[in-house]
Amino acid sequence: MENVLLVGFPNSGKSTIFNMLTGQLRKVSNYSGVTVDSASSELISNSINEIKLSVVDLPGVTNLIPTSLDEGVTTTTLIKDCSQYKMIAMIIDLDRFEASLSLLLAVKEILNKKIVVIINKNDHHLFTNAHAQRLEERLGLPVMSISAINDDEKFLDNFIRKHQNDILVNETLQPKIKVHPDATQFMPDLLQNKEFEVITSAEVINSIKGHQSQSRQIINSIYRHSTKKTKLTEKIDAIILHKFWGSIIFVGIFYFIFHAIYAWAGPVMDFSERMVASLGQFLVPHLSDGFFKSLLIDGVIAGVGGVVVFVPQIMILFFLLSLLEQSGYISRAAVLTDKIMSLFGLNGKAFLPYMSGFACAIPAIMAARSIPNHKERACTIMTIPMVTCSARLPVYVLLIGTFVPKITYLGFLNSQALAFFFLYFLGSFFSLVVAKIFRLTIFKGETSNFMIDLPHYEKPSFRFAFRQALRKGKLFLKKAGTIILGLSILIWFLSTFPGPDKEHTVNKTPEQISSITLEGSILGHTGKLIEPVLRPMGMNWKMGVGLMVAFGARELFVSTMGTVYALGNVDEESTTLRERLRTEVDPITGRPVFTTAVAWSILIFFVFALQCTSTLAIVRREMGSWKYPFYMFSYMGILGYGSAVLVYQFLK
Amino acid sequence: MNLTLADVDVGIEVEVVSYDGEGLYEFKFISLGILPGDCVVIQSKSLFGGPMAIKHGEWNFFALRKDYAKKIIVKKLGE
Repeated sequence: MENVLLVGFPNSGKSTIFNMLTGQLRKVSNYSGVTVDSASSELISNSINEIKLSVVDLPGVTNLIPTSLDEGVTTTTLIKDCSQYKMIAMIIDLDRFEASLSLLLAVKEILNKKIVVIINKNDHHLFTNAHAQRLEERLGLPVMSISAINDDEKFLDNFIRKHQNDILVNETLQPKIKVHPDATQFMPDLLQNKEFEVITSAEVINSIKGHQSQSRQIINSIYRHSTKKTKLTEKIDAIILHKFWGSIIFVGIFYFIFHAIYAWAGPVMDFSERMVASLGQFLVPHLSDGFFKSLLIDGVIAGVGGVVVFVPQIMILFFLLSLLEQSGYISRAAVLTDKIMSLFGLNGKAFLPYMSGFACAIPAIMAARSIPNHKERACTIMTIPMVTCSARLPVYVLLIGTFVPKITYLGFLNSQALAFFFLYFLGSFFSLVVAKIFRLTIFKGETSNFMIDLPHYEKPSFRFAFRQALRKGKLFLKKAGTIILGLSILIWFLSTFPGPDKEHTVNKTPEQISSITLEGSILGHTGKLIEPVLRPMGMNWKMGVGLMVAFGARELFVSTMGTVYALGNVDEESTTLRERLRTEVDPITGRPVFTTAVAWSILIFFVFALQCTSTLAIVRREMGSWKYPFYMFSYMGILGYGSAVLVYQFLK
Repeated sequence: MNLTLADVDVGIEVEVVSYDGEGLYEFKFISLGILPGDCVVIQSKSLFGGPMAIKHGEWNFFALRKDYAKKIIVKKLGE
């Protein structure tokens, strides 16, 4: 297997090209710093070619001298051992032609023989073959131009295959870069004197300046930019980044997303809920009574089915976020939020990690690597898990949809969408407040500076957004089909066994038997054991069981409720989980168990508590010590419990 | 007192002269291709002294905090 490295500026389209060549779906966005670690994958065309190639996607850099850990990955990969790769594909961003070409010149200086040049973002065919030919002559390297979002991968694949064939000998010369003293900390794997040499900052600056002006000379002699796209970007930014309108549009866009999740997904969700319910009803007469029937209907269908119905919401969220990301709006959002971020002692660059946190805390915590300052990075990582991730979505949708009455204010504001928006806001806001507290105490320090590239606006592709949404939907279903399915079955076992004694079931209705079985089960006993702790939050042991299980993965709360209530309920009328929750009655008092106060108490607990074992593992990996996940788990748990108690006592 | 990019109003084109402060600032600006002699226009300024958006040359856009803009020493065109 021969490796091809993809090297280029941030947001020059390396990941899009990587996905195009390998058929992988690596996260891409029209924003700098999305790729923070290298990824390697085989070409799709390997199946029909003798020579097997794989491409390596590296974090974007503006020069070879790193100022953060993610940039260090790129330099280290290039320098450390060049027998590890056959070729370097330099990705040049046509929108930032001069600066990105100067990076190529810097790489060319130390590794001359293995480079091919790919001019990306040639979406309007402005860079012609004649231009490419002239650039080839000037550089002495093969050049091609593509539009990674529009073009077919075959063209690029052929180009790479053709030229990797031409590279006959592996370059044997050991490359060595010249760096200033501050950069060495970001390349822990490189050795001084062997792989790099330390020179003064002034010398480094002079060499970069030299590459920049050389690059301009080359471009001026062969190419003229079109100003059409620039004019459009200027016009849009005049409104989007406007002092006053910019902020209003920002809030409007994000409110719209939450509104869409409710308004558009509602009918689809009702439909899929009915489907799941009727599947259960369809199967009932065909199965003989017994454990298997109960396992299938109450364990699998109620558990997994309860979670699967949230696929539409997840797809809509990611469809809309993808449109936003592609357009180039996210960098503008980082600009608009930088002032607020700085008030909390963070950097506008923390916006992207927080933003990714809305999908999942795992990639978000990794994205924090693009923050150069260690304390700011630690602080960002420690607070990201409070941002509402998509695993909380099912819980929010279930409880809000069931317990918040649908009211329309001012003709367009929907009460359920507002409740949703409020929970998202609460999580994000408190993550910032806690960040500030951390910045004033354990991670004390000045805020580092913020500078960001604003890409040209691009017309987002609906097809691309749909593919992203489909992928998230698939991932979610996969999780439902594996982890959630497995745990649903486990929960069914724990809530069915060890079964009631014969003498207790004499002269009882089936409904009473079910409820006795559940209470006497392992899960029931455990739930009752922790009930005193749950009381102040207004929760009973059934909900406690849901909360405990949710520490494995948050969605499990929904599937557990599905299983637990399916078992305790043989009422044919209430077929969906929402109806079951609404009609659940306390056997002693006769009043509904789920009141508005209880629902909000659970919601608030979910906003704050860290119920995700994968997050703990990734924090350990990123920060290198168990101390961090331990603190994270504790502070979030205390916050979750404390505020849930407050909310319940206040609303009761 | 030198004129810095932070002092310039929206819409006025200026020329970059040099960079103030430690080498790190200069390093960042030069890496992004903002060289002395280049023209820069401020596109917008955010509320409460937040970051400002600038257009560099004919087709590059950046946003930077005021503290950063203070490190870029500029002069008005024709001076």
